[in-house]
Amino acid sequence: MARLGKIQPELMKNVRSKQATVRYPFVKAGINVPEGLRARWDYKMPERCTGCKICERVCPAEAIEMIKCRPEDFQTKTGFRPICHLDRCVICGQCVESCPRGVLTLTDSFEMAFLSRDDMIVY
Amino acid sequence: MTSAGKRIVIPPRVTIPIGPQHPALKEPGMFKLTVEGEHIVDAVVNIGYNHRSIEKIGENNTHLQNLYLASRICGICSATHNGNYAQAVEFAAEAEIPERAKFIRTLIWELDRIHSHILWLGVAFHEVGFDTAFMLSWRDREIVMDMLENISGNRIHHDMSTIGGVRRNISDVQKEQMLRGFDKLEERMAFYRDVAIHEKTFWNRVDGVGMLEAPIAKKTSAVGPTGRGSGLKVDVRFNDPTQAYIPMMDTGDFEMILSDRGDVAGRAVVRVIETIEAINMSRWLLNNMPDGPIRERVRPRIQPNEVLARHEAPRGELIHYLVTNGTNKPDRWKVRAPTYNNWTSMAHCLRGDYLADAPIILAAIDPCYSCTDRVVIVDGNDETMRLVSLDNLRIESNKWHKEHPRRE
Repeated sequence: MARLGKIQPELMKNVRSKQATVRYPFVKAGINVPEGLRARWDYKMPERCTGCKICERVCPAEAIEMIKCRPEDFQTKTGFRPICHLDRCVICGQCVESCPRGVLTLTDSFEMAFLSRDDMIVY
Repeated sequence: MTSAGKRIVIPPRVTIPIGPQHPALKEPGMFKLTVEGEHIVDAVVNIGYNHRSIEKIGENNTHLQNLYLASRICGICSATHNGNYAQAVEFAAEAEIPERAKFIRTLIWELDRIHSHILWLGVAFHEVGFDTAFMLSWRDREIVMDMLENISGNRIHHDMSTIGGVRRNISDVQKEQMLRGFDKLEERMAFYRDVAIHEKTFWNRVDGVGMLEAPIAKKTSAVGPTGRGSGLKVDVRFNDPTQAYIPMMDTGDFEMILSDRGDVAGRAVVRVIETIEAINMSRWLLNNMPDGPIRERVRPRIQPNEVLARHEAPRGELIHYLVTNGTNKPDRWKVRAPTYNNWTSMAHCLRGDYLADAPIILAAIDPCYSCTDRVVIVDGNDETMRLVSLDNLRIESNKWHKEHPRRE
């Protein structure tokens, strides 16, 4: 007599079960965003930055560039501030770890698709 | 004149190129299969389409930067490269890392193995046309992916290891979540073990296919599940344990998973049962994790030394050879990924089998091309591309090093 295989009972169970995936771009509820997710780079506390360039030196992807402080920026001690090129950033978080004053952070905003490279520079 | 019934027809030998897009894993590798009818009589394996010169880039980076570069050698086993490089630098610096860091590093390695083996199982189901099990197994792989994302902050590039320890701690809440996840995962893996062994849709396609006998596996130096599926006792975790594998192996609760079948089915069984064993290992690591610091400060300048770090990656033995020179950059860094070892056995596995079985045989070593590939030179100015032989490469590299002497 033909017997059911191993997979058929599982299939029957799955007919009535909930959908395993989320229709992501249309529905955002149900996405698992854990605490401490490493995503978009952020210059969180400019007033604590001294412009020491450690973040630029440790960056493995050369994504962080030190530029001269613009007039609208907070003026650091050395006159330089970091910017991040998201197109090169590998989101390793080494800059956050190496910063002696806790200036930088990786936020949990993970939507990082842009139409041009200029939009990918985080000031 | 002979009748049509008695005439012996010898099918012509035809060489079929498969690739450079791999039929199994969508990665660049080229196979020239010579077939007589449906039987494969000869196979030539050609790789080298995706050279990224990671070792050379690494020589110009600091050790800290190389950790992240090593992690990006391979997407699936990123934790193994990252952890093994950190381990190599610690060996070179002769630094001892805290016990808790060792346990967390080993835990990440084992979680990496679980997700890599479930990924392979899904691909194997897909290759034999059993897509239902492929979808289901990848759905359950999300359990371990979520665990990894939860503790490291990233699904794929965990980057947990750093020189002198690990970067993040595991809280008690995360521990409880993971223990609950392991219970569910173990139940599901027991189900997939039964599916792989008892479901004829899968078993009849892999039983006796791609035979690799133990002497030939030994001769071609097969490693990892490919070797263990042929009965070779090759597992660095047991033969040469490092990190938290040492106390783990001292308990004697764990054993090396071996199969003497030697075919694709043997390799599949080894991988599935090894996943269950890895879940048990992870549970042991979580339950016996000591308290304490997770990181020891290691000076960035590493003393001159020459070390070889070994680790059992999901695909087999991974070797990082590192020469340090007293600066914060390596003098020489050499990575030998496990797929490179398993290549040579591939041609033997393919011979004598049917052409239709080629994808599953190729997938059975769980190939990872990007870790393996060697050299092609692309000139951006005149848009030419050429393959370079080892001898020419050596001459060119000698020339380059003569023109660019290393700064002392």
